[in-house]
Formats: sequence, C-alpha cells, structure tokens
Amino acid sequence: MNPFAGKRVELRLFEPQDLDSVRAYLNQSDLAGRRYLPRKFPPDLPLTEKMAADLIEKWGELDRQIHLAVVTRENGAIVGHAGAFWGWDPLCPEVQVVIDPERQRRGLGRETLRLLVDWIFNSLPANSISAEAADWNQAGSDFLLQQGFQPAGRDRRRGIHRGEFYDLIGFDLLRSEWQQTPGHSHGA
Amino acid sequence: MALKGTVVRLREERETDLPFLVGMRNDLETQAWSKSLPPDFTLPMYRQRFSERAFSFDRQEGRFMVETLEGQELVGYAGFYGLEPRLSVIYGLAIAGRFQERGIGLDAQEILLRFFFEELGLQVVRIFTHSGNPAMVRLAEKSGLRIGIRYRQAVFQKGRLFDNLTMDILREEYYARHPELRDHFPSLPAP
Repeated sequence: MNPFAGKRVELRLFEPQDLDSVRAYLNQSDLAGRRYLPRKFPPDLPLTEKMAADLIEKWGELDRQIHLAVVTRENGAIVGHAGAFWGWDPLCPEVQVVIDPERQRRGLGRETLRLLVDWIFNSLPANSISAEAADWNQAGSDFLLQQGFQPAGRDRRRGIHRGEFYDLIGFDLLRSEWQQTPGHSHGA
Repeated sequence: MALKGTVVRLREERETDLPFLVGMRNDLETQAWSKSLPPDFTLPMYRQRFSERAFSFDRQEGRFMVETLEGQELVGYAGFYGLEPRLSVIYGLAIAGRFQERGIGLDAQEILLRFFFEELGLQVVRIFTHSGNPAMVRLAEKSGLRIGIRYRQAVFQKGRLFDNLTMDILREEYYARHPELRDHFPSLPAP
C-alpha cells in the first residue's frame, strides 16, 4: 500500500518535468511570503525558470528530509508541495504544506497533511511534530488548528512583511494526540 | 575594544583552548543536547573544526571563549549562529560546572546581548534550550529573555522527555532594562 496515496491526492517526489507546474502555482501573488521554500530562494519574488529548476533539484535531497509534490489523483496535476524535516532530531520533525491558492478550501491540504503526519508517525521515531505559520497568515494557523495541532507560542520578529515585523506562530502535535485522532492510519 | 564584562571577557578561540573545549563537550552536564552524544569527542576532531574555520567578513556565526578578567582562567564558551543581519541571531552559552552559580554566566550573557544590540543592531535575540535545563532558563530570564515557543515533549535526555523552548528578547525590551544605554538604531520599519 502506498502510504502517500489518499482519496483525492497523492504525494510523490518531484521530477524535472514538473518545472512549469511548480512555477505556475508558486508564482501566484497570493502565496508570496508563505511558500515555505529553502532559505536560498526568495520568499516572495517570482521564481525564474532557473530558480525553479534549482528548487526541484534542492527538493530532491533526501538527507533527513522529504519534499513531495501534491498531485490530484483525478489527473495528476500538481496542486502544491509538502515537506518534512528531521535534521535536528527525528524525535521532533517539522512539517509544511502549501496548496495552490486556486485549489485551496477543497480539503486537499487537509488530506495532504494527514498523509504526511501518518507517514511520519508510522516511519520515524517521532513524538512531537511541529509546524509554523506567520502571524499574518491567519488561514494557515486556522488550518493547523483544524487538523489537531496545538498552539505552542510565537517566535517574535522573524521577518518583515508589508512594512511590519511579523511573528511566527508555532504549533505541535504529539504522537499520543495523533493516536486519538479518528481515522488516523496506523501502520500498514 | 574587547568584549569585556565585570568578571569575564569573551575572546576568540585559540588552539590552546581545544583540550578545555573537548572536556566541556564530553561533560554530560555542559553539552546540553543529547543528540550531540556520544561524549567521545577528541582533540583531533576539535583541531579539525578549528583549522577548517575560514576567513570571511560576512560570517553568520561566532565562537568565543569565556575567560576570567582576573587570572585569565577559562570558564566556558559562548557562541552564536543563524545571524540574520540587522534582524536576529541565536546564541548559546556553557559554563563549566565548577564555575556555575557565581554570576559568570550572567556576565557573559550580558556581554553577548550588548554586542548583539549595540554592535550588530539586531531586532531580536533568541536562545534554544529545553525544560530539562532549568539553569539555562533561569539565566536567560535574568537578562530579560522569555519563553516564546514551547514544543512539547520534543527533547529526550537523561531518560525523560522535555519541552523544546525558544526564548527571546526584543531590542526595545533590552534597552528598557539598560537605561544607561540609548538606542540610536532607526525604527525599522516605521510604525
């Protein structure tokens, strides 16, 4: 059974031919500042073709991290990306989910996060998964809360957004909480 | 001007300091994070780290030895990393067991904070620690840092789970605690 296959979306590694699709959703202005890209990439500037190619190559690095394309099962279209990192300690991985703004509010992010969290708790010795959202990204915070993540506090002044300092809101989810979630996928 | 406080100063790491650093790293009481175990670090490992440090005017990290003003005795080390110019940094500090509870850590920490705010012009300074290290939490609180994020049960050490903590202090909070200093850094961005 493919642990990354849901009812409506599937998660898979990126391929070089995904370049145009990646640029198409990441360059939407609605995603500026909340694309969750590696540090060497600008948080809000449109990505050039070269940048997108570099990004796909970077996302291919699998050393204690995983970056996956979110594709629809209906037609295989890329609708976002999801990542998990456990470079510091596999006890406490961090997750990220980004969905194309035009495809949001349809349950795709929820299913993506569920697949990722299930995979982490079924594959890693993780006890506490963290996630974060900028304080101006209320939809991001609401999304994490709806998926059972608990507020963990804030990192103040993590950057500047539209002329103001912003904080990052932290969230976490314990293995014990995940085990009590209805419908969580335990093992295979 | 050296990074000098009332009882200690922070100075650059020297090759002769390496045995002291190996000892600190291999002491379970001062290495802080169990993920860096086992405590079998060697002098050659530290020599390699020392010799591979490259010259740059654009560094995002710094490493200092903590040395007493009187007697020039090594008592610990301090460092920072993840420097985002004019914005933020994360620091770390370790004082050898026999020198703890003497105000040395607080002096070293205040030297660092003054350097970060007065010289580097940062907006916020952070430290990562965990709930199993109450001495570090207390020390940070003495300089005005407060817990910003608490990730539950994310650290395992000494047979127990602890919460991973991020503590921070903003620029204006630091200056409010130090009326002897005036903040001349331009307000960024405009309110």
